[in-house]
Amino acid sequence: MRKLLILPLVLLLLATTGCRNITQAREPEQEYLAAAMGFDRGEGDLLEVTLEVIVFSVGAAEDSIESRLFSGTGHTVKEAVGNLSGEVAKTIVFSHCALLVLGETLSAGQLDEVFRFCAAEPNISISALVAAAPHAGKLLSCQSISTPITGYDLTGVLQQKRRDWGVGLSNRLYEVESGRLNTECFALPFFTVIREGEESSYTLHGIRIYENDLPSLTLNLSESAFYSLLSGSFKSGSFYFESDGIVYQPEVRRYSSKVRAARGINRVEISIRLILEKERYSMTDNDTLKTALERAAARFYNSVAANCRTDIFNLGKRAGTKGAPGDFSDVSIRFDVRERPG
Amino acid sequence: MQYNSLNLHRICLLSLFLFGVVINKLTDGSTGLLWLLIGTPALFLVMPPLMKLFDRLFGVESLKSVSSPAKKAGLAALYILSGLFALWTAYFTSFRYADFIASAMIPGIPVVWVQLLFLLVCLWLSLKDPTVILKIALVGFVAVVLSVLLLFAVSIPHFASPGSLLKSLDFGSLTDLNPDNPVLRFFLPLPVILVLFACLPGGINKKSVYWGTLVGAALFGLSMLQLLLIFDGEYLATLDYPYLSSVSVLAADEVFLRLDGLVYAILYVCFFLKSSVCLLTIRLLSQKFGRRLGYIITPACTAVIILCSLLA
Repeated sequence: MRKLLILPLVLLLLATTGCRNITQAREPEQEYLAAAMGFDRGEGDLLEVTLEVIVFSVGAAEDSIESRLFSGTGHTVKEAVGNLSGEVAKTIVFSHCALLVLGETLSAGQLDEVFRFCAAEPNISISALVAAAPHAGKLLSCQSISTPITGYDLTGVLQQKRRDWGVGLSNRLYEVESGRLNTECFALPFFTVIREGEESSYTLHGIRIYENDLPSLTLNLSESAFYSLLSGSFKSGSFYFESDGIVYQPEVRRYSSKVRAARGINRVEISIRLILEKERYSMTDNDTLKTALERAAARFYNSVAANCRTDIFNLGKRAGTKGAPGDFSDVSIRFDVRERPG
Repeated sequence: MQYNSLNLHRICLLSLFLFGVVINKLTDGSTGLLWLLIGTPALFLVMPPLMKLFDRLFGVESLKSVSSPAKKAGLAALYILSGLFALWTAYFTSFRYADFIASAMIPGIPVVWVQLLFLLVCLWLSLKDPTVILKIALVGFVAVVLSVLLLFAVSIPHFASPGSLLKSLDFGSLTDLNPDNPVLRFFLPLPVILVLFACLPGGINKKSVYWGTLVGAALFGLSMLQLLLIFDGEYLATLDYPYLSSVSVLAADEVFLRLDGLVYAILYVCFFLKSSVCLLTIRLLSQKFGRRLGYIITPACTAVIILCSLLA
């Protein structure tokens, strides 16, 4: 009797879980796995979608995996995907799509349509990364370096930067959507494309900040580190910055930040605590570094706040105030820099 | 097996029955968490008289043994109403879970087919001796608790600042009684399982109800906390199946690549137990009218659930 009970449950589990399912089972060569999607403003203000797909060959070794680019235009993403050029004869599966690239020419309405498509398409993972580029299609057509798929190459670069630089990019789809809902702003890693003869290569320039679904500010990698420090998304790693003609490169082991808002007045204090790696840090003493960091951070905050209309550092929520964005005119930044004990 | 020796099983069944609510959307997560913290101890205050009442009303073995016609009519009406409430709970539970399975796991298959397939298993379980469900609950409980704890542990690196969550908790919002309140959904099906316990030989065991509610609330609270710390409250409200979505965030981790199977296991166990408990309650209530009636009414109720889903 016990076997009778267990058997249908095991069968149900086998039939209804896993990557494939009983109703849509296909062999890899029967479908195109989308690795990355790019979105640009095409001709006639239509939305241009570039799709990088993984091409499998029957019985081929793993190193023979290659990618192919398709592009199509339409008023909506769905229409553009339906109009893909290049004789798409296979079903496109989005479940392996790791990267979404937004071109800088996209209008606010088109960007909203892209996010609406991503929310409605259940196969696109909410942890897919989002990045920005001057032209998404051109970025995806760059020569890949580490893997046969450019989209996966780009995500690898972002993960590496996150580890090495500690720049918490907060650019997974759900984080970007969350930013759009909360503060009407979000930050994306910004790639630029360099053309050398026939081939193009890419480089991570820094961060591009979007407000109300339109790009408003571009930061280089050094500024991006300060953006991460002030917005609470820094992880751990080293970054460099310049203050009073001296270049500093602290290696951060641990990071934490607190935002406090004084009641009744528009004063906000951002307290940042950095625990530095002892062995690798020997350039300057902690007090000098603390002063340099405070100066550079204040300079950075003022220059960014002057150009932005929304609460791009998410200070309102972190301080627990429900003030209108842009209320934070009097912000003091304090650093507590210590060395890792031992 | 003696029912008195199954108190641990009852704790497991009750906690998983309540925890089944984790499938739902979390429209008001931070307020829900506050409600859970306040609502659970508050419920413990009203529970003792409630359990006594349930024991007296549902502890009657058969309506035939009741001599007073007025009391008989009253109890009959109560049993029918309780049965309808259990049917309503079974319908919503099975529909929600079948919808999840049909949309997230086996897209393309009509919800009603999934519901039929799974409800047949639940029906089969509900027609067996109640100890079968209690034993499954014990085994399932271990698996669910381990999975919930593991998911919580691996999601810690993905948490946003707990300080922001604390700051976003608004005690003033407790006055807005939202019908979509996750905690209301959590406690609403509780009478169904209390009826079941009262119908079982030995009646309600107070200690197991307290512990079961507490463990269920702790599991639900932990998963709510996990979701609120991974996602922002406003974004969380947009997710259809937040618990599954949280795993797709964890799946990006380098160590644990596929954790969605754990969520499926949790949801499967909760689905089977919650729906089976509802159908078993219907069966035991029907048996108070006639010994064989339960074996006719319960399959009929399962057919009604399928019919309602077809018409919906």
